[in-house]
Amino acid sequence: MKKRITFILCFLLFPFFICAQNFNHLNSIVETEKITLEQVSFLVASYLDSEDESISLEQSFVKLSQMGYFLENDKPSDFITVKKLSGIYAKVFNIKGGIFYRLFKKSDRYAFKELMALGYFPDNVDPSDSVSGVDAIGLLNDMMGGDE
Amino acid sequence: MKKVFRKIFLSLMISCTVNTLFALDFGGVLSNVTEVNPTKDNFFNLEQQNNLSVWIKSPLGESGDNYFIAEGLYRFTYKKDFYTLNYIDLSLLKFVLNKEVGDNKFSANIGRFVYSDITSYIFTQATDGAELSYSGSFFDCSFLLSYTGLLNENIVQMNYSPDYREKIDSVYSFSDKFLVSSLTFSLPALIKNNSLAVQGIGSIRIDDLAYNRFYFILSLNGAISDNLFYGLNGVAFASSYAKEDFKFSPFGYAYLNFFYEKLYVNANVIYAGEDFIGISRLPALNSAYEPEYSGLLVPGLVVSYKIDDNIRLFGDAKVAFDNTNNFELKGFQYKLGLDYQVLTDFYVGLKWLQYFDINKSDKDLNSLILSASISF
Repeated sequence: MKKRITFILCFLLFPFFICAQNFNHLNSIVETEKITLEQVSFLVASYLDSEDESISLEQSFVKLSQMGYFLENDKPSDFITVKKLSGIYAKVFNIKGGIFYRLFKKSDRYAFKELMALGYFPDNVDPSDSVSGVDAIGLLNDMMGGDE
Repeated sequence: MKKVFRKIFLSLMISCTVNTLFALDFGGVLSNVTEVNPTKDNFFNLEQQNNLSVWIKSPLGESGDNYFIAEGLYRFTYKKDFYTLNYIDLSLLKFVLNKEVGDNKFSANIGRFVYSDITSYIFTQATDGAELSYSGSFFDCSFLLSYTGLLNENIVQMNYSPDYREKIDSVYSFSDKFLVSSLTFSLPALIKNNSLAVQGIGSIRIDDLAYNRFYFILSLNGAISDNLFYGLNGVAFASSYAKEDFKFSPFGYAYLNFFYEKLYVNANVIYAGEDFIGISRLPALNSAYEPEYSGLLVPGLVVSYKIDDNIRLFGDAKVAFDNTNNFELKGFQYKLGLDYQVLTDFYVGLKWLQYFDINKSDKDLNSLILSASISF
């Protein structure tokens, strides 16, 4: 079952992970129970610049840090929460958001509420929960329009 | 026994406090309802209501299925030339516990929570107590035991005992004391998509003068086709006040729901016998006197159409007949409105409502309602 999910997700995101190194990273992310900031950086960096075929996990984190996606004290090995992932993805997809999302400088909290209101999460999701690799890729795919 | 309860309570509190440190979620809604009721004497008859509700939620354990939630409410109400009132309330304070074992699901609501009977016309309101439910592959059942005496009577509207006097000026005034219990048994997939449910509700007043009400409900609902759904509800009601004899009365509610793309149509009819009265106060008509479903036959039609994901147009109409007087026509009302979700956290709505009473024009009502809410 897990292999089948991996295959489907890899197939869906194939255009962004065309080189073998990236494909290996993606494979390891799919099998991760608690995804880290570095791994999310890799997903986002690959999405933002799919022509850069050789980007590493470390480079992805540095790249996204420079783009203002992370706070100064964020470490690459930190596990990401649903709330934090919402903040990153909402910025990546340039979600316009509601009044409070705009008012509080696109905070993670209101990004989470925004994605919740848009129906990306089930009702019982806890914003402080960690995120699995499959869920992080699934959400990225949904926001790319893969669920339509 | 006391020790066991103390242990359970302490464990829940500790679990909640520990979780709170890591996973407390909170939010709120600020809303405004401005209503203008033009009359012959006073065109600008204004009524204003503002609500501020704030909630906190904390998971209990790893799974998001078990959690604690509390919601507080502040309400400001103003009616031109009549009153200015302030109320506070604790709308919710509940522990929600869920456990799945194979195809069997067990759940519990403990604390203050909103309950709704299977017709939604008898006991649909906040209450304090416990609701235990079981859902299996063949049948569902649930049990409720609750108390209404700690509710704020100015927020949670109920049909009180005839001798009970409301205190509308208090910020928080305790409600009439009823012990309300219900037992529900349902077969969710009796024949294909049809389900059958049986519910018994008892409301016993805990005060000097007894006021006891009992309801036995039989409900059948299901799908006629992919777009068309039906519901049939029959209620046998018995009540006794003080030392008077029991009075018996029927209640019936039938509906058809039709969904087609962005269109929703609901046709319904409600029959309430002369002595029928629900536990919760749910006005049958928006006349100036807001009568309950008692001694009335009310057919109605609701139509709603979603223009897009954010805008919805709706309208409804009701005709009321007095079944205590040979089904004489009592009145007619219609409502037209628009809901607009401007942003995900900002909503505005506009509604126009008119009620015409056949016999007495002082019960007529014209109402323009503007509502808005922002969630944070």
